[in-house]
Amino acid sequence: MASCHDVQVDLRVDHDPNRILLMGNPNVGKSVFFSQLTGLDVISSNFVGTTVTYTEGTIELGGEKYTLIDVPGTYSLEATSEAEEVAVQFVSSNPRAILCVLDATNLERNIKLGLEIQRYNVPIVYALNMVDVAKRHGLEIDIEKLSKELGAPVVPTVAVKGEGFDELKKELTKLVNRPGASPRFTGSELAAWRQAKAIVGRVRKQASGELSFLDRLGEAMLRPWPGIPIALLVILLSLGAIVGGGKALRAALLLPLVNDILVPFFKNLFASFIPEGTLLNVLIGEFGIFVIGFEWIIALILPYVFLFYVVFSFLEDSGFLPRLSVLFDGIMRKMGVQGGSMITILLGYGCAVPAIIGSRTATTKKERIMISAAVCFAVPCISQTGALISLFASFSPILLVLMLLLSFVIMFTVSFILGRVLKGEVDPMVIEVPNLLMPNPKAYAKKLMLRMKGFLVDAEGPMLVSIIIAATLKETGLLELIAVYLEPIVSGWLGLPKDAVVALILGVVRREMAVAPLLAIEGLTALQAFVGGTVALLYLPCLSVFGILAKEFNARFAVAIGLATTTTAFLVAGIINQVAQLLV
Amino acid sequence: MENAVVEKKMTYRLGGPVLLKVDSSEIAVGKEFAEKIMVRR
Repeated sequence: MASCHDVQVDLRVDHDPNRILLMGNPNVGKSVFFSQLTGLDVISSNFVGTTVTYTEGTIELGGEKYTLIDVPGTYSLEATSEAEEVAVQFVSSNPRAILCVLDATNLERNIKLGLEIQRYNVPIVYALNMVDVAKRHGLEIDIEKLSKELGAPVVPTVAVKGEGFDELKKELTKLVNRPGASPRFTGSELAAWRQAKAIVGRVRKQASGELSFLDRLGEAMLRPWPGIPIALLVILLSLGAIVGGGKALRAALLLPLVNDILVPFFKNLFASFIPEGTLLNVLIGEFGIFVIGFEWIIALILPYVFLFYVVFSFLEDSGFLPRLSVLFDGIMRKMGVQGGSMITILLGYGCAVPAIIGSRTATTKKERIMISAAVCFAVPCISQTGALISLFASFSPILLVLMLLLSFVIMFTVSFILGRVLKGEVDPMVIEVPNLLMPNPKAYAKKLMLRMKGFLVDAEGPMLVSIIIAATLKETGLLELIAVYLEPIVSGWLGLPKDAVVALILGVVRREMAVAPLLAIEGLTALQAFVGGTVALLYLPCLSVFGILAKEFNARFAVAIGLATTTTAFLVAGIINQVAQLLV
Repeated sequence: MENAVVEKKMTYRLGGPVLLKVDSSEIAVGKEFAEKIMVRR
């Protein structure tokens, strides 16, 4: 656990006098408040010297612009964890006001934090969120009385439905224009607990409620029956939506766009002023930058990435994923990690980079290494999955199922071995299960937009680099030269055509690029496709993953992962080829 | 949370967690952690 001296002062925190802090416990819907109150100019940053991320955006109140900072959710301000230390830094930085979100269904511990914030003498507005859920649970809260008890305005809200925000903005405007005296609580943490309990006793009454369909479904999904079948059905439907939807988007929209419009346009354009020769081939030849660039990036990768984030963000915001973690904790423990890590690993099916960053939520270093290694070894990112789907499409869907099974076996083996080899412990799961709800459309759209923006900025650059390398190697004949040296491994041990060398070279830059060149090889057999897919699945993580591994751990760890994954890729794929050759 | 009432809602099989209700929150705690919770009658 970090001491309070570990977190340095982040100078960016003090840069703007018009700062308003958005604070509250985890899972109270703060991100929905943030999306509802701010515009599109959202910045996500790391608090200096920590692994804690916060988001800031602009909020307009009475014609004036303010910076709204979404402070990481905390249960207290006792600075016993990194997130709490960051929260203390923010609240001590003399902000203009604080918007503290209280969860109406868990009033006592939310009020306790609300009281602790009062120690810092900053004007506060409280938003009492999820009043609809509280009502359905038979909890009646006297808002006027609560406001008097807390000495500050309390606005009831239902953030996911966008209710209460006009009133909240009015109260915030009043607060920043005429701050007045701030409410003060000066007691200890224990005193805050006692006062919170007393306040709840005075403002809350138990009445009869009626659970909604989603409340009952949320309850049911926590029980093994029918929770596990529902969870498996949701996973299958999600996969179906991503794979089927991606294929449909590709066939109906993106392939015609690329093959009938973009590629012919650039072919005609370059052919009109560049003479025939190597340069023209590099640009618009069979492997030309303006041919495979559009084909691979737009038609092959983009539809699957987009649909993965559509589905994953929905499952994340609806409260489905924590239920999945609870149901499958027993199995995850057999793997050596705890159920909560399942969310991080699932995130790896989108991209390994956010999954490795997300592994910060692991409570021990051992578990963090285990999750990151499992993701690097055997979790294909969505771009690579898209490429694998396209590769196996001309053979049989059984190949895709076998590939997924292989990835599970390798992931399980890697975690199992590391669990025994690495020193230290993996803590048991402690996870709060949020209410099951329909995501707020605005917050959902903003999250989707930020994720796609992140993908386009972070991934398209390296993808373009690998496409330029591929085009240059193929069209200049350099590939033939390199292939001679790698032939014993590629053709001898793996049984692949010598053109597959390009996949091994490009796979270093991006994971899907270890698959995409195989699509262009004519006469590939089902065994070769599976062996090539296996190499790609287990091969080196891409350059971005190397970068993030070196940053989050160290360069030695990144190199070790690179060596171990490459060795495993050649070993496992080679064994599959050799055994199949013997059997067939 | 002082003097909070903790209700055990469910124990999952095969080494799974224990689901607790504290106030109105539902919290799942891993088996190894749950085993350390002492209950006073």
